[in-house]
Amino acid sequence: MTLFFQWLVAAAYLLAAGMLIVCSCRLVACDRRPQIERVAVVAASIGLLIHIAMVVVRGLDSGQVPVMTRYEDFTVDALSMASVWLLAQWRWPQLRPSGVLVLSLAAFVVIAALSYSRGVFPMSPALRTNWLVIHASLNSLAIGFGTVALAVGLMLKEDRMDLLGRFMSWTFLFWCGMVAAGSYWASIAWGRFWGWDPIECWSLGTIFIYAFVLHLRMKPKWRKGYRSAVMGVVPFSFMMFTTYGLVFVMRSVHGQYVFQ
Amino acid sequence: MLNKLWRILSSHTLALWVLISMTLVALAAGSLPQSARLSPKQQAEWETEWEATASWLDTLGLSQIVGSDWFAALCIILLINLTAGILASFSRKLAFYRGDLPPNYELQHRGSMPDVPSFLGTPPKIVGKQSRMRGIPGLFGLTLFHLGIAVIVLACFWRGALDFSDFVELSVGEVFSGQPDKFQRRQPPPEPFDAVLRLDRADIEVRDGKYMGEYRGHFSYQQAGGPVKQATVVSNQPLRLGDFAIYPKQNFGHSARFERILKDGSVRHLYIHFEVESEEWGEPWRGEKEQMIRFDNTPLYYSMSLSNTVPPSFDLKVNQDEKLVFKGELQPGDVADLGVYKLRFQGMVPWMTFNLALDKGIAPIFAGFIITLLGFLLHLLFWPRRVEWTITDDGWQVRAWVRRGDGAFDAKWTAWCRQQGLEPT
Repeated sequence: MTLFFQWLVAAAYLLAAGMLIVCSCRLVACDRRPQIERVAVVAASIGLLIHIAMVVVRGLDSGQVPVMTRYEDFTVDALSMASVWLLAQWRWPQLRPSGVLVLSLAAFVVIAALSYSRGVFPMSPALRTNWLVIHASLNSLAIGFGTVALAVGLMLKEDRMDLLGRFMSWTFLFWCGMVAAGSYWASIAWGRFWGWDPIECWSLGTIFIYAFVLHLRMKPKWRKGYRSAVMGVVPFSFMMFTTYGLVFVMRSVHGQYVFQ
Repeated sequence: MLNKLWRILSSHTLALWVLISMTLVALAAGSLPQSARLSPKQQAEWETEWEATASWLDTLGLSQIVGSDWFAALCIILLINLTAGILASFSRKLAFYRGDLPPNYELQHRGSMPDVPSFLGTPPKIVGKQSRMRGIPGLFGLTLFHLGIAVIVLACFWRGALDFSDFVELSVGEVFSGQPDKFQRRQPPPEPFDAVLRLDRADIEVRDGKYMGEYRGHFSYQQAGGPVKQATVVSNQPLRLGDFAIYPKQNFGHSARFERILKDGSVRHLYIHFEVESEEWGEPWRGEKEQMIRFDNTPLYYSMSLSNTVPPSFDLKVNQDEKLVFKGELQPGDVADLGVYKLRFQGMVPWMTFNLALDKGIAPIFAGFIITLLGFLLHLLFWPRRVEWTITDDGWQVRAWVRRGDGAFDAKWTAWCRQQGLEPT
């Protein structure tokens, strides 16, 4: 059943993304575009509601907040991407075309989650804390905002470059919060707030690269055009590699949790 | 000269160079094998398998980046740049607040007052000047953010000098009072450990053969000669003892407990630890171990195996100078005469690993984290805007100071100017 709903969510997001592509590529008449965009938003919202329900059911089933296994991690990250985009387009309707990338990525992540075990595993004592929920939720929020920032940057519209900076700043805040929460948790669980573990180092590297790009954006020539878009892609790539890729190539204390 | 130095130290360009350098350092520390992170065994393997690379990295100071002098130097540059930047930006923010800077927007007109939208505040009713400032917390948000980072860096330097953290393996019934030979690195803490504690009970539960269910150590302890207290150490709930704290680490096993009876009749306890994998916990198990145990400069070579049968059995073979001193199987109560002393096997108890860490200096670090996050949140939530109206006898002037990138203000200003038929400036 979970499998069916997971595919349904992905289909809803892809349908919405498809409709937004139709509008972005100007395949329909100008006057019909707002209407199709609104239908796309409705499709994405339905997908999001099913997505939320799926996460809630998973949490009730397992008796714990579903942020522990890689399957859960992917599912919640995709939820964050779709939610942040839906909220962003509600506040700034001109950001709707960014849904092409955000919703496609969210659908891809929802499908990718299925390649991991959907089993429920008992939490080890160190994981039985609210700090896990705070740490993982902030990570998901950073990924959600980061993905929207990436998409806004790639739209290459001059009037939206300030919004790119704003979304990158929120990503930076949530990522810093995630690191701070993880650090505090490590200090009470292991007796050290920082252990220079590969994931910790790369997370710090991600903070510095975001800080670098945000500082760089203070120079006018880096606030506009393709330079600004490229500078949006670089820290996002660091964030994604740190979250998803690093445990495949390096041994890390985080690896033992995500591969359960 | 001093002016030039000040400009360099507080410069945005220096911040960019420091940030990109720190990014590269963090990635190198996360990707290259670091001696601080590797166990002695992993370190030896790395140095054997990649001898040339290991020595090359060592020469360049890349095998322990965070402990290197150049990393400390980089942190000092970061700190100086942050401090100079905070002071420089604070004075700019103050000038913004007072309206001492040139305005970002300005419009002057001769004639009657136009309709004023709410984002421009309320102009004075009579001739004169009136200003309004909104979003003040946002004005100082980034200053707070940078201040928080400076606090973290300073606290890390301070804590670095005090840093102590080491693992201690304790068996049930064993008493620990900070003796250096109990620490894995056999180094005493930099400050005296003024407490005595005994592990009374160990709750170790493994579910489905691989998942840690419970891991709790129940202690009796006495601190600085005070009353004896009881406490349970469990993950995320360390036991705080003055400036120290004890944290559980999930390494555990069975321990063979002995009484060592010396020739003068005195008795000391001896615990020999056997590590047990999670899958084997609670299952029929037999562990083997070889260990040199020195007593009064007399090394004895123990060859041992322990089984968790009921009652437990302990096979012991002891050599001294390649001469067999004892060989036999011991059950609880049995005594082995090793010549220099006798060993009475008392049975098998669990042992657990704990991390003893000096907790000093951690509070300023987390205070720095809070200041940093709060500062950045204020920066994102509040948009400082200062609007000043001047009414003269024949016209009016409006000036506005806003943060760079305040697109919402820009859009509203442009729309309002056009609505009034005026050219936005």
